[in-house]
Amino acid sequence: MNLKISSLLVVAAALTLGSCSSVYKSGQTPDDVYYSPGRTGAAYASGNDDNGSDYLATNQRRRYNDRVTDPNYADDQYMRMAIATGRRPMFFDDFAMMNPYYRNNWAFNSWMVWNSPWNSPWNSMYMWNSFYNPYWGIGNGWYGGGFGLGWSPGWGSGWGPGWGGGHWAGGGIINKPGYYTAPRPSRPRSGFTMGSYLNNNNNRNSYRVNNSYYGNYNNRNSYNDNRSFNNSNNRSMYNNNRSTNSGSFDRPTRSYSPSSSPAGGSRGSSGGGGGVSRPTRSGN
Amino acid sequence: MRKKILLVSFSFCSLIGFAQVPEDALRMSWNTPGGTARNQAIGGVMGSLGGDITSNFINPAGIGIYRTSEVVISPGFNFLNNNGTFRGTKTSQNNSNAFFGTSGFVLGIPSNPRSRNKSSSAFSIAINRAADFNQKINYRGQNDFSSFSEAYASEIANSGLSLDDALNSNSISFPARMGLYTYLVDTLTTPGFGTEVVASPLRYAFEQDTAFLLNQDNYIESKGGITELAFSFAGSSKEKIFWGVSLGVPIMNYERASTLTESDATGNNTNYFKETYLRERFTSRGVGLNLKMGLIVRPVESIRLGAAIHTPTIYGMRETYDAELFADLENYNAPTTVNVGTLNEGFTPEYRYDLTSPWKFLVSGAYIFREVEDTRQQKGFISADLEYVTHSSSRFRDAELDGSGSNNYFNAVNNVIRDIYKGTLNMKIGGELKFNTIMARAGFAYYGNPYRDEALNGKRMFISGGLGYRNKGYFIDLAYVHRITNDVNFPYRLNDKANTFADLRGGGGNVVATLGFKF
Repeated sequence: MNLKISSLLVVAAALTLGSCSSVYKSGQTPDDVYYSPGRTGAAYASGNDDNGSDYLATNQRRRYNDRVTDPNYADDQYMRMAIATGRRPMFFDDFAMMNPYYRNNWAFNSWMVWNSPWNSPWNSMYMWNSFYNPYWGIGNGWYGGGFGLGWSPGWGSGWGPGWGGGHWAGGGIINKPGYYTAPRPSRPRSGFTMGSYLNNNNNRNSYRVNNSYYGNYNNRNSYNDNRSFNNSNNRSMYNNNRSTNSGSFDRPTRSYSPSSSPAGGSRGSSGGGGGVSRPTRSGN
Repeated sequence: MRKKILLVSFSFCSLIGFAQVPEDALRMSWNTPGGTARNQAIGGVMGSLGGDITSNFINPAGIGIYRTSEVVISPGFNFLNNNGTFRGTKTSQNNSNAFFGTSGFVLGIPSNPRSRNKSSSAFSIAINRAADFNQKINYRGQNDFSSFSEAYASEIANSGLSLDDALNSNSISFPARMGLYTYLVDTLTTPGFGTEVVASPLRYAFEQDTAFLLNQDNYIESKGGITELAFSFAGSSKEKIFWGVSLGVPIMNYERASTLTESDATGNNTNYFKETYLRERFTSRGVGLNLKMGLIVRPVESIRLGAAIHTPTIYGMRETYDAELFADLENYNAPTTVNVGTLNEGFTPEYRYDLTSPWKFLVSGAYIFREVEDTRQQKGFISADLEYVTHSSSRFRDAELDGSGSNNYFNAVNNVIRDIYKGTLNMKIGGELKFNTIMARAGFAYYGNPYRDEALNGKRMFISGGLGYRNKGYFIDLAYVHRITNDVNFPYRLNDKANTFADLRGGGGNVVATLGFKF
């Protein structure tokens, strides 16, 4: 990734993070590797000193969702509130949606849980979705209801299939594209080094793995002893340490024996461009 | 007439090109530690611990441990050095780059305190730098045994084509054709050997029956990486069993520019060879899809056991290849330069194919000292991962629209992959000591050698350490990972002669910081 873009991203993200106010600002910050407390019975400090105060098992979930900050705030208050504002169950079980614990968290509908103010006070749903917030719902039941329903199924059903579809669309681009590409000029089967792994002896359509030289390495020069090169050195020096293979390693057979009619017609396969000719050699 | 049409359509069928070599497959699967600073500091161990966003990329069941929510970002910086040893000569090369590491969010959905089941679920979206290809490699040395142009001579001799036909044949690689064009490869008739295709750097030696000596230098600069996007869904039951599934979308981008230079080291001005260089530029882009599944169980308090499977990633790839060859052949030919465009009607060749990456299997265990809610009583943990990566199971598949008749080539490449690579066992161990809000960590990771041939060393080790601070709803982690890596690099490959390669030893390391926010 471009360095500038990534540094910008990092700075922007850090600023965003820094401006957030955590639920755990004045309490212990949970460490999920050891224990993930969730919102229920979270370790909560009564004092303001960092993690130094007494450990209290307070129901933090309620505390943070309840603007009244009444420690005795109970679920049935939601019910009363809903009744008081004249809201009625709509497509879903109103009450069950507000209270995720009435639903099986494992199931698909756990997405709904996100929309619940119970889940997280930071969650934008809390702010947005007045339907699920009893306080915002007061005096504005109809508006809230409409908004809530519009948003929630969007999350619930939108994520899964939406992503899935996106991937397969991507797959179409990746794999064989569904459009016709004009024949391009002749390209070698092996753009570069692959040819050296294989032996395509005289047959363009049959690639044979050439195993005979796997594991044969020559990583030392035979002249190394005195670091000087003498033009009178003869070929026998090539293989001081490979006497068993002497003669075949330094000069393998690369006979030039073109067949009279090359298979497949190499020039013909160049896409009609006529091919290239070697420039005339100028040396002696 | 009909015959003619048949012939024409047959030649169109052979308008297929491939640039794929086994190294392309290995590069895609040879991933090394990457994760949050906390995870990197403990050696990348995350198979059974959980509770870190890195779980998305190792064992998604670790996301199931979350019942809180968090958002994290992890910027990092690499400073690497590579020491190349080639035929007794050592060369060093440094480079550095910034990267955007594991970042994303986790939403933990807590369980109902009244429920007997105590189930919970969690969801996460995160990105990770799964591989970083930024590096510079340079090695040089003297060679009295082989020349890179011999690969071209051998290829042309084996093809059975005349030089003129080979120059335009799509069964001959571009460098070999460029070698022909510049007379870096030509024929030579000598008594006892008849007419051979010879590499010009060796021409004089063959003609005079003497030795040769070449200076070789290979400089490779590569960029890019694999950034993987993960969408995970996880859950837990009774605080005993955690499971998770993650859909991974790796986005791959690779660019490599290399210059392979060869010059005459004998001082002879009339031996038909002074200097040649091959400049290559290769780009590869692709998007893939994979699935990771995992399970973590807590048989008793403080102990966690984990297992995960990563399916192969199926990548759709697109590559381009461009090259230029220069040859100064002294008294044999005037200095000549040619590029791929000249031989390919001005087009830069493009290749499409699919690549299936290896499987990965992982088992892990962790011991947590004081697995309690009160953070002041949490003391630390130790954990170890064991993973097996089936490097030899990478497979290429044709993805050209006009790709008929290409299977032979791909099957051959796949066979080579099976022959030269093997599955590796990677081991990681790490731990943390926790002092209320401050944490100290250390880790070690060992990645096995993916090369089947034991002469080729590809082992990698990572030693890491770090510090963390977690308070007031935030956490900040820092990690340093020192790497000791080994690899080999073949400047060219000969299929009828012993090969030469450079040993690469990598040093340096990377620093990662993770900033997180709990909500």
